[in-house]
Amino acid sequence: MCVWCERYADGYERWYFNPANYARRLYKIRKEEVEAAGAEANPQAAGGMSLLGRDFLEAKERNDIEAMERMRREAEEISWRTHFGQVITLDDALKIADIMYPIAVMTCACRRSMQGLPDEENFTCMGMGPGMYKWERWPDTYRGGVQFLTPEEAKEVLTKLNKRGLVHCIYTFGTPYIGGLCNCDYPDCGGIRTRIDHGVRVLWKGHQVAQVDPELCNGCAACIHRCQFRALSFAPTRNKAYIDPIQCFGCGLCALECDQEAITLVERSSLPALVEAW
Amino acid sequence: MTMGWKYGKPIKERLLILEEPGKFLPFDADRGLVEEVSAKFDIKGLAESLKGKDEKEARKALEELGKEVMKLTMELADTKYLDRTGEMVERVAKQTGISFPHRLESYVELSLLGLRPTDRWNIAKATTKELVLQVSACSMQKALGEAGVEGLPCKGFCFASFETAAEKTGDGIKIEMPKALPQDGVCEFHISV
Repeated sequence: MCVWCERYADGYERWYFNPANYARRLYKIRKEEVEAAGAEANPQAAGGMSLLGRDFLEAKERNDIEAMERMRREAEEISWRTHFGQVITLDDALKIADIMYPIAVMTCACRRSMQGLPDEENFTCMGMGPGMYKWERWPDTYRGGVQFLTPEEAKEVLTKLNKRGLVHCIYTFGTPYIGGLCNCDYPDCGGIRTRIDHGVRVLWKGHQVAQVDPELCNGCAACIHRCQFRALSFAPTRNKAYIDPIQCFGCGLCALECDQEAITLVERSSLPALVEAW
Repeated sequence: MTMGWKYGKPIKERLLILEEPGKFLPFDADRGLVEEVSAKFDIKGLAESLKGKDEKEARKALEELGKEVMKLTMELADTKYLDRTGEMVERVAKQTGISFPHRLESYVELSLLGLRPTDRWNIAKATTKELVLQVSACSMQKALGEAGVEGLPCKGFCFASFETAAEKTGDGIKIEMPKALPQDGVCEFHISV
């Protein structure tokens, strides 16, 4: 079981199925002075991009393991308390669409910074829950505007984005409150990049792991381009797909692409070697 | 969202954009609303006046109070003390066609803040099917207890106020109360549609 399920599932199968983690008061009594926007006002906060600075990269360059470890630990502690993500499957994302409200598509801060995508072509992030009624409070984050969706429309959008090869990740905004459902890929996504390139766990692996049945795999290689985590490779001599279980984040993108049904998802908790590998 | 691009494009007619970026918008509950509602109704005085009455009679009086408090709250919230959260709740409901839970929740929260600003309460669930409200420290229940009013007649207050709000929002609600103060440490209301 992941630590977040231990702390916040409250009897639900996974912590992100617990509706309490999406519920929040709409109101508090207005203070006399104007309040500053929260940390989430900074669009660079998405995916923990703002948690690692140049000093981390410099320590990495000079191979200063001790300094890197310290900075990694500090970044993770802040992230887990305030804003971290976990990979989820499409099935889980569709279930989430029914247990919280409202949901809105908004622009992705990561792609804004990595690709310079114009706002009108960059509507892939989803903001969720009552915090979305206050989206105007963070004009930098929401400069492109928002479009609110019904749960059914949200499911349609998630399915389309999944078909395009984007990974679904939930994000907390003041853990355990879950306020974002991002649809990510490498190298655009700050969360995936911070985890894959630097080993900092601002993005947690999902509850499942993909496995290939070599008997069923016909070697078409259609799944290869779907993996955003460098877990999937192709064994040319055997003409079969191979998934590195340690590297797999359990997003399920590869499984949905396989028309031979050669890739299945199994529970991480059922694999002793991976049970603590989040 | 439309197809035809790797990432998403919004539907222009449904896109909400920043009207005046950087302008202060009042998202929180106005103090004026709290002061007006608190000044108009006197919980302690009512509790004293119910001393010696049976639970049924007390409940009836509290139901009336619940309706009145909610009516005043809604009137003030929609006019004099209109806030941006309430406005956005209405705009989103119009855009998605989904009223529940937040149109109701906004009135319920404002009435709680208005009459009992020091109470401790929490929203434990807010889906399009169910709203769960937990009240763990209630000045109404405390005042009735101190006045020696027996039972939990204030349940009538909460039920009546929620139903009054639901009448306005047009939500056909059902209310259950699986936990109650003081024995459960919390009054828990499950409001479903």
